[in-house]
Amino acid sequence: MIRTLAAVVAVALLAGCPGPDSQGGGTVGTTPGLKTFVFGRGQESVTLDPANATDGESVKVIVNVFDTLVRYAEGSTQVEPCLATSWDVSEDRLTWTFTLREGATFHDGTPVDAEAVVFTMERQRDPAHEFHQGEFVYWKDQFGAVEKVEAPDAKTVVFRLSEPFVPFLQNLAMFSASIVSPAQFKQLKQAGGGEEAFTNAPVGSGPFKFKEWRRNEALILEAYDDYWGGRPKLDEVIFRAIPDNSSRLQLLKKGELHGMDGINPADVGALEEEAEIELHTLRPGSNTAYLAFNNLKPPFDDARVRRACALALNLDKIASSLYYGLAVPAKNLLPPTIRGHNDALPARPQDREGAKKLLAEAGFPDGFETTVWTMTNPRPYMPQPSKTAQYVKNALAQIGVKAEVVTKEWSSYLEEVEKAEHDMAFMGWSSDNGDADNFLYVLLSKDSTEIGSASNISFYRSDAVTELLVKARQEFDLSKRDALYQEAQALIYEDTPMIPLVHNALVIAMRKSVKGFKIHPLNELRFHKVDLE
Amino acid sequence: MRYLLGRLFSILPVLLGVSLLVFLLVRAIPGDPARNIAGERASAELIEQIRAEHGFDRPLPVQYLTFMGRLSRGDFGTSIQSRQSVSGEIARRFPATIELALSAILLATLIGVPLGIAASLRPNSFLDAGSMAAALLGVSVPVFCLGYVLILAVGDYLPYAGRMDEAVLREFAPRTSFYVLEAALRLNGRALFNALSHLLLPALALSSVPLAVVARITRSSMLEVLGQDYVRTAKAKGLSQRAVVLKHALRNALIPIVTVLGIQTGYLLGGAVLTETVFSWPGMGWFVVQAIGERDYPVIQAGVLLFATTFVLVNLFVDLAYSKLDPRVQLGVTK
Repeated sequence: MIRTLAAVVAVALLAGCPGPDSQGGGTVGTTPGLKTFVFGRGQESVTLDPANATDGESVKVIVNVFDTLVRYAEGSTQVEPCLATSWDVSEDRLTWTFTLREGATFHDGTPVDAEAVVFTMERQRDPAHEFHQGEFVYWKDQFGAVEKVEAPDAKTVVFRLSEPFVPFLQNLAMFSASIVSPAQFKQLKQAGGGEEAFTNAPVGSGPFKFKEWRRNEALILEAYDDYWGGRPKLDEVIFRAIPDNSSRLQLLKKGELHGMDGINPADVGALEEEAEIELHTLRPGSNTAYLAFNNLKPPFDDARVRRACALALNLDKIASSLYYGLAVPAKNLLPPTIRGHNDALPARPQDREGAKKLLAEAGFPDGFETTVWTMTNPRPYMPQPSKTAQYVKNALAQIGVKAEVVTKEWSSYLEEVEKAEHDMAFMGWSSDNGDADNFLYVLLSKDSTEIGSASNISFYRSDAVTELLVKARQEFDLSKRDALYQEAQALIYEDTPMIPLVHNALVIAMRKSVKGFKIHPLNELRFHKVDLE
Repeated sequence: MRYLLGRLFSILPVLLGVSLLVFLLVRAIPGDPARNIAGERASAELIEQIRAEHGFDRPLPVQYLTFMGRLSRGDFGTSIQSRQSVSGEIARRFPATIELALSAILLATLIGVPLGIAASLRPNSFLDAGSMAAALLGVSVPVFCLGYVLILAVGDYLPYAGRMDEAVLREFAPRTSFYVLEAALRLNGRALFNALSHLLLPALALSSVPLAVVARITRSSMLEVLGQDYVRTAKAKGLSQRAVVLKHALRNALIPIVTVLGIQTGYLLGGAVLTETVFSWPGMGWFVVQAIGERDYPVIQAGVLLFATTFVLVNLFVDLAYSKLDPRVQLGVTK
């Protein structure tokens, strides 16, 4: 018995050794004759229902399966036509009319018509809608101004808004506004499927159609032959969840993966030397890590104290050592990749003497005791939260401020900082839609400071700034709008409710055999134009 | 038989206790699932809405009774994150864990027992010292470290992610999640070898601790038995070394070994979080740990209950094995 088993194991060992032909070019795990692209990421997607997705891993798949009315152009945050070929906004800015593309079809063969767009939007907006199942987090966050969506004819869609809202068009390019097939929803319901049915059989009109999903193993898409934008060059895309960063990198080097994200920042340097691997880097990305002061709590209710703390930090050092040189020091909360960024503001160099003077003016010649909060888990904008906190603690000690580091697990962390329980806390933001409003209004307006659910966790309640930000939401003249944002950022710079620390880079690694991939400032991973050599 | 029924019946209060404990424990972890879903952009109403939708706004006793009511109908509820049925998710993942755990135990037994015997036959020899030092290393080296060493050493020749190559899997088109077992039963050699080759490295990494423990226990248990009078008698009457060791000594030394194997099997069936993470093995450990991070209460509850049940059942099985190994052990008889 033992001998037989040993033999089986030995044979299995030999059988497991791939021959030389199956090694090269990353063909492992693919069907011969098919161009299969395999992408490795750290986690599984949660859902493929675009309206209910909130995690980045779901979005990576959704943008390949679905189309939106408008989309972000390649390599930029500007919107361009997609399912809608043209649009028009009324004089009072309350009515938006879109004309749909001819010939676009869903993967189930039904046409992408105005009814489908109405279905997609009304399903999210109207709590009485037959298919209004889920939380629709993004709808509530970004489409609150939409009062009604109508279809006067098969190729025309009308959105009626309750107030003028400039970011509306940018928001329509987001994954959550992906147009879904109403026929599929109805068919699944008829077949007795529950609310989870669509996520297991999603139907959109994007370049790839859903094929199969074995959670934590593989999520498989295949080319949609009738895609209006032309059939993709790849036949299949497989997303694999490989939780461990180092194992994933080994698989990329071995050729079992063609591309991956979630690279340890420390590994990036060595990867640049790899002959078969190409790093796609965008530095800076559209994200910001910041240190928020709790403006409600003394002594941080005094702008001089906040400015003093800002002067104690050396942002260049944070960018070079804690982010391995992948980040760029920040001057503003708004990243330079996003329109409206105020580049005229001076960088704030480290100045300990100046900081001490400000503290003395504010009545703290000997400094004070406080806490700096940080999370246990790395975030896309902050790879090393506890080391960063340690750095801030040491830097503040140099000006006499004794900060104790408080570390909390992510969901408790969010809950408590939103309740204003912190003194100083790290946080960050990655752009959803490439619009300045999505950073400045969300993170610094008075309207976002409700205790318990604040997104402005600095609890900065400046009337002047809020007024400028609200005006900018409704200013359709883009250069005037830019001026409003420039002015708001200057005021914010002076008040220093938070310290913008750095903008982190986006890094995607691909094998050199992968052609036609372009990194996107909003980190959208689209594989329509990707090819394998 | 009566003994067996009695034992099975006595499991119920244990599981009831576990269910209450895990129910309360998951709710005692700081953080809440609603906030995890809504993330950085949560509004107060949204969080309330999610809590209400999943019944987390109701009093704890009501929540517990609802949970138990569903459970009695075999319904583990739906995952808060993925909205998939928890039973379905477990049905896909538990087989992966079972195959991995049993392979690791098999390796541990096949290597650990002979190693222990060899060491006991020449106590304090080079072989003894060497194998026991190796065993100590096996217990001490963290599995993720061993995992990386294996990947770097033989990762070019052996697969180390997932359960089967996609191409083989498509051809094989399994109907269950027991890939190895199903491939063997369907006499599909290609699928079987592919599945086994994927199993080898994770099973090897996972077997390090049980292997070491088994080797050490075998050695000490054998040393004790080999010093007994009946072994000397057996030797004296001219039996071959092989017969003395395997027939007379080993059988009597087996009880502690089987006990240890049982406990280790129970542990491993609880999902090997680190091994599953390093080797991207889609089993229970990865699944439940992910759920803990997301505060996905139904998944955590179901997972822990399943682990507890498995552990108790494995122990029961070990107890039954005692009477087979040693006829003097009579189950259910109190003297």
